[in-house]
Amino acid sequence: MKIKQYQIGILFFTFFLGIISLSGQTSTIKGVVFADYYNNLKNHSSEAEGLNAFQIRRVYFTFENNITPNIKMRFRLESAHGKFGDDSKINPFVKHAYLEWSNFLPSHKLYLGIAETNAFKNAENYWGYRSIEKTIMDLNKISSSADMGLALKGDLGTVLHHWFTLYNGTGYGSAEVDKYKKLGYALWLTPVEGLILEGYVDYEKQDPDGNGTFKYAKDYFQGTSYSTMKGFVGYSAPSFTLGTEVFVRTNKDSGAKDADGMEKTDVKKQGFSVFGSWITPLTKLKLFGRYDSFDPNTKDNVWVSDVKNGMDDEYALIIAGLDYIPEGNIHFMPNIMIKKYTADGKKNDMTARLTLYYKFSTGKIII
Amino acid sequence: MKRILILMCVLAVFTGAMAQDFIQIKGSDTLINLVQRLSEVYMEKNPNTAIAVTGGGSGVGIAALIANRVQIADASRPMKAKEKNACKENGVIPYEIVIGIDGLSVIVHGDNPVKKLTVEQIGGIFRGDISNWKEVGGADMAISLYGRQANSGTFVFFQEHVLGKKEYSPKMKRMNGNAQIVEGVIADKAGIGYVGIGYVFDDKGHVRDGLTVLNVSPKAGDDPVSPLVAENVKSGKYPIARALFQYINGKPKGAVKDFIAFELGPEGQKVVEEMSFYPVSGDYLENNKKAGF
Repeated sequence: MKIKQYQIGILFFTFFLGIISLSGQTSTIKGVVFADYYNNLKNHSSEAEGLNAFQIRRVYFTFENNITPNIKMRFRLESAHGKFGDDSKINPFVKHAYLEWSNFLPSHKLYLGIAETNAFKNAENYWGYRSIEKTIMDLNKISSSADMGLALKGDLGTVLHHWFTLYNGTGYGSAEVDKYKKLGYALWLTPVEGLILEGYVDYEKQDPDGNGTFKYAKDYFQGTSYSTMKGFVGYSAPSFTLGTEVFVRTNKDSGAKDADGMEKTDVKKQGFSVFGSWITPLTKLKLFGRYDSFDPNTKDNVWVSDVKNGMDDEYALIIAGLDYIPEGNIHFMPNIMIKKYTADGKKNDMTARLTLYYKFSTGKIII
Repeated sequence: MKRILILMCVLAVFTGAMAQDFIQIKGSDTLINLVQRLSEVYMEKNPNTAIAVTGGGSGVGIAALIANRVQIADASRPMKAKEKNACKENGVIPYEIVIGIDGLSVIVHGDNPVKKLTVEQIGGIFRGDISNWKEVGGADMAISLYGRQANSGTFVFFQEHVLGKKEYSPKMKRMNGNAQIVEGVIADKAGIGYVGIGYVFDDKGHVRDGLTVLNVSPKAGDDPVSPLVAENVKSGKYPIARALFQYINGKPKGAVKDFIAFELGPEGQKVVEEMSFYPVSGDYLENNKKAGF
C-alpha cells in the first residue's frame, strides 16, 4: 500500500512540475464528493443487517489544463471508504489521465489515455444521480466507466453523433492481461432538443485456454468472446427527465457447463432500467426514482468449476428519493434502495440513506 | 414617549427596507451597458426595486443562475446543453427571454481600404489561415486580431457562426470587453475585431472616428450587407445577427417579471434602440410568449 502512495506522490509531483512550466494556460481544479449516512434496515445477509455508518462513498479530484488551444489534458484521482469494517485508510487511485485533442478530425475529438467509456455515458447523463447509484450497466460491471486506450467522439451532423473506443477492456484499475482489445461503438440521434435515441455495441475476443497469450479471465464466466448490445432512449424537458436502457451481454462459449452437461455454453446477462427525475414547484426540491431488473445469467442452471451458478439469481432494484438543494452545487438527498431477489427464501435488502453530494471548482484560472 | 417614537422610526425604516425588492443580474459584457440603462430607467419609476447589474461574461452569468446566486443571467448566446444539464442538476428551470437583437459588427481601422469581407474570409482571418491584409484586397500588412476571452458569449457565438467551430488563432489578443476591442482597433491600423453593434457609435449616434464597420457577405458572390441598417439585421440578411438573451429560474414572478415586462414593453424597447441595438421582432416575440411575456 505504501508503494502505491509513493507512486502516486511521484506522479503528482512530476505532473505539477510539468504544469507549472507551462505558463499562460487556462486550468481548472474541480472535484466532487458523495457521502452518506446509511442504515441497512434489511439485508439478505444477517451480518449486514442493522449495520449503519457515515461514509465517504466517492471523492473525485480533477485537474484540467489547456495545453494548447486544441489540446486539453485531464488528471483525475478517485477515492472512497472501503466496505464496512475495512480498517485501511482512504487511498486515491488514478481514474482519468488523458489528452483530449479537439478538431483532430472536423467536429471530432480524439482521446488518448485512461478515459471515459461510451457504454453508458449518455444514460448516466440523463439519470443524473451517479451520486445515488451507478447506472445498471456500470453497477453490474457490464463495462467499466473508464478504460485505457484511445477514443474518437464527434458529430456526424447536427442530429447524429458517435463515439468509437479501442481499449484494453480491463477498466481503469488494471493493466492489460491479454493480447486482445475491446472495441466499442455508440451511435445516437438527437432529433429534437432533449430527446436521445442511442444504440451501442462492443466486442472483445478472449482466449480462455491461454494458448499463445497470458490467461486471465476478464469475466467470471470467461468465454471465447464477450459482446454487448444495448439501446437507450431518454427525454429531458426543463422540469423533468425520463430514460430507459436495455442491454444484453453474451459470453460466447463460456467456461460454464449447462444442466445437461454441455461444455462451453453461451452465457447471457441482461437487464433493463427505467428512471426519472422531476423538479418540483417547491423551490430547490427535486424527486427521483428508478427501477432496474437484472439477470446475471439467463440460463438458470450452469456450472463453473463444479460450482452451481445462475439459479434464480435475478434481482430488481428500486430507488426513490428527494433532492434538496439549499445552495448551488450542494445536495442533501434522503433516499431508499430496495433490492428484491427472485430466489426462494432470499430476504430482500433495504437501505435508507441520507446522501450529501457537493461539487467544487476554481473556475478557469491562468497559470 | 421619546423612546417609543425612536423605536417606531427604526421599525418604519426596517419595514421600508424589507419591502424593497432586490434583483441581481449578472453576465454578458455585451449586454451590460444596455441592461444597466434599462435598470436605471426602471428604478426611476419603481423606487422600491433595487437592481444590481454586473458583467463577467455570458458563461459567468449563467453559472451564477445555475448556482442560484442571481435572479437574471444576461447572455449574448443561447444556453449550452451542458449548462442546461447543470441547471437540471441544481433544480433550476431556465426560462429564456430575448430582449433585443444585435448585429455583431466586424470592425477595422478607419484607414484600412478593406470595407467588405465574406463570412468565410472573416473566419479565415480569425483562425489565422489568412494573416496578411493583401490576401483580402488590403495593404501588405500583417493582420492584428482583437477578440474576447473564452467566458464571453460573443467569443462563443463568433466561434460557432464565423469560425466554423474551429479554434481562434493563438495570436488573437483576448480583450476584457467590447469597449477595449474598439479602442484597440482604433489604435491599430492593422487591427480587426468583433463587437456588439452598440459599441461602435459615439454619443451622437455616429460610427466612432477612426473605425470602419465592415459590410459582410454570407458567401462569395453575395451582396455585402451592413449591420448599421436596422432592416438588414431584423430581416436576417446580415449574416452575423444574434439575439440578446436573459435567463431566469422558473416562471417569471414578482419584481423580476415586472422588470422584464418593462424591458420588452415600448419604454424598454426604446432604450434598446437608444443603446444602438435592435428591438425584438419576428420569431423572438413567440419565444418570449412561451416564457410568459
